[in-house]
Amino acid sequence: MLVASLGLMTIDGSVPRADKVSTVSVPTPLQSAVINVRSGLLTLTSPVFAIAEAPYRFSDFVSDIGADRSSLLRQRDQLESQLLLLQQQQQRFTYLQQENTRLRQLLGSKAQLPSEVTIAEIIGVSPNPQRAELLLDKGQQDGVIRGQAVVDAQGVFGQVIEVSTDSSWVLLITDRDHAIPVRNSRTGVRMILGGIGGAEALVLEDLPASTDVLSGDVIETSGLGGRFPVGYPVGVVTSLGSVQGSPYLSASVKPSAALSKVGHVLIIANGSSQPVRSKALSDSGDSLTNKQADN
Amino acid sequence: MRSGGFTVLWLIPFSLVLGVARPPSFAPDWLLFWRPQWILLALVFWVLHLGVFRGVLFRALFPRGRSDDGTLFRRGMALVWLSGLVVDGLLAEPLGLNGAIFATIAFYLMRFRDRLALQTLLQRMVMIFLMVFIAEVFRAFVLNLLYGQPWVLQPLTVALTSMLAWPIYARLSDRTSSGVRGS
Repeated sequence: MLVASLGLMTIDGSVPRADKVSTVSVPTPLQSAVINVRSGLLTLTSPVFAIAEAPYRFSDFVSDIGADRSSLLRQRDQLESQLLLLQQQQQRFTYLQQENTRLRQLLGSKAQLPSEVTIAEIIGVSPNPQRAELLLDKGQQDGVIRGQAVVDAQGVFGQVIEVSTDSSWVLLITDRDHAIPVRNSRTGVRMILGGIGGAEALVLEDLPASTDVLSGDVIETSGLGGRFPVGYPVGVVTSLGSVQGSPYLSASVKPSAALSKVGHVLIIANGSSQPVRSKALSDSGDSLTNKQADN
Repeated sequence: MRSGGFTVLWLIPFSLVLGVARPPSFAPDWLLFWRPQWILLALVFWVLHLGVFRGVLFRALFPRGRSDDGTLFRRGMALVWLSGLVVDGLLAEPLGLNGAIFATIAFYLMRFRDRLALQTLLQRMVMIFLMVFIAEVFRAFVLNLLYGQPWVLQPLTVALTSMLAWPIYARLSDRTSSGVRGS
């Protein structure tokens, strides 16, 4: 049994938790078998997370019942004004979309496929405090596959690393195993943004000292590597630092996404690479439409 | 007085839920480092107070065959190892990690079951501390090796809280009609 355990651990350990920045790993038959076993076990055990989450759901349910009429009316007014704003932005978006299509046709460039998003709910958190992973309530039966990008209303959340029939694990961008190709939205300079562990901070490492980065710069996905669609906000530079004697800078970045909150997120279908307006995303909340035309 | 089988039947799922339940949002992050190893405690309870070779699951997995002690022991160990595999799936840890930990602990407990029956509560708590500490060090070693997870004081904190949580399980064992006494 110990030998079997060691063998399993060796094979399982050789499967990367998340594909690297610009490569997509192809598992060997043995690794595929282990991935399938893991998927089956996750299907078997995901109800445990649902039960563990039940007290919080019940508490939310009770607080919803207990909400008074005036607060509900206030909330409705807020949502109505938010909807109005979104409708106005939608009109602009539709116009820009059409213009984009025309320009693409003029340039003869290929139109991109429509992208779809799936709304998923967070139903569990990794019990290991050193790993930034979340369990979502959507899996293979909802079309979720390993490697898909996950975003919330404010920005990039992470990527799907393990999928079962009805649930999936997401590796957050703050995990130390995670890295994402990004660019500075002000200057367009391309960089790699890495996680540093449990804390809600990211780091831009090994930047040449001459790199034009300022505190307050918005960092967004560059779309390189094909994993994350281009133009999604990832974070804001909070501080810059350098090691004495080193020709490189490092910058701390505060994630835009509300990583510590529990709620809903969007899983983006692979292949989407259209720019998304940060403002539109940040204002839209969880009420984004289920499908976005992509151009 | 209830049967030990009934207690184990609800204690194991309950421990699995406790093992993955997240603290409320207002709780500090460091609290997770002090979470007792509820699942390991349930395993210890299962092996010491019921024996690994009984139960509905065991009969479902091994419906017939020889019933000598050696065969039952080996089949019981296989059941414990498979349980570890399920926990690997639950905790998203490398496959085989919890199987190895569970099988080693179950082997030790089964091997010295009669001797362990004479332990006082305090001795049992010290044993739990050492057992969980070694198991957590092994877990940390494997996670460090495979995922580069840094070493922290978690094995120590988890062992400490597990030791302090054991009296809850010991109290349960006093209420069951079967198994080892003295804890």
